[in-house]
Amino acid sequence: MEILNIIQGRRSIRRYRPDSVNLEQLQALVLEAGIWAPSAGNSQSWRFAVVTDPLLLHKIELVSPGLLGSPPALIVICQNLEEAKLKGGSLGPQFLAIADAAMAAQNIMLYAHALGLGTCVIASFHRGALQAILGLPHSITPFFVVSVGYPEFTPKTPIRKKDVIWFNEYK
Amino acid sequence: MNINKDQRTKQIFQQLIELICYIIVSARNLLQESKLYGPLRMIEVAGKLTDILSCEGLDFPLLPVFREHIETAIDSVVEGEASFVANLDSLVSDVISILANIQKEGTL
Repeated sequence: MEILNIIQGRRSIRRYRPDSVNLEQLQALVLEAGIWAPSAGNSQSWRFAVVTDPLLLHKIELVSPGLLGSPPALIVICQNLEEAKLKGGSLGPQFLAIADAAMAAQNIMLYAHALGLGTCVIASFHRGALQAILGLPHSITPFFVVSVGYPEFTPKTPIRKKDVIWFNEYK
Repeated sequence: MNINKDQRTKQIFQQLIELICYIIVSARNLLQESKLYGPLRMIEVAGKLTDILSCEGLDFPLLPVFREHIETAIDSVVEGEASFVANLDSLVSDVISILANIQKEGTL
């Protein structure tokens, strides 16, 4: 697939088929795409929890109001904030960690789309509850949850605003 | 699957406890979220309640259509406020139809 087809063809999927996604593919989404995102100061302080256990998925759904469509897998993109601070100073945990996690999420979603998988990134979950469910240590903070699965319904493409760009000085 | 009354009661209990968890977490998260997400979460809870009713065989003739319209409304929130509001209005029409079926208490 052409890169622009992948970028423009990706939709946020909020309804999935129950078919499971194989573990090799899920691993590849992280190791072949996610960790190849830019990382401020090459800190690579991100961490990725891949969740496929049905009971864990169910519990996470209960504390993640933005998570829709019963996905068969989740990739929880976390940051080790202690490591982020060590590498990026105070800007590390405050801003760079979020930016890095977001760029990793986009890589994962684009590669998933190229593989025929649907995804949706959400931030509408309770951080503390998710940490407790996944047994994450205090230093590992979840920033995004990416649902992964085979789409049952693909929403239509929203119109993109074009008046968002200018050249040189602000107009 | 043949399950006895005790098991059914436990299942309903668990589903309702889970719904309470969902509502509480939603309430907390909504403090920081888009204002449209308030009505969205309420509609999602309505959907979850209709699912519980259906699972327990407590559904009524209008429920499947009502459930379908709830799903449409949930999907429409990403299309923008106008579409979401139109779908919520359509759901209110469903509610009016449901209310019209109530002749007296307990006769839905």
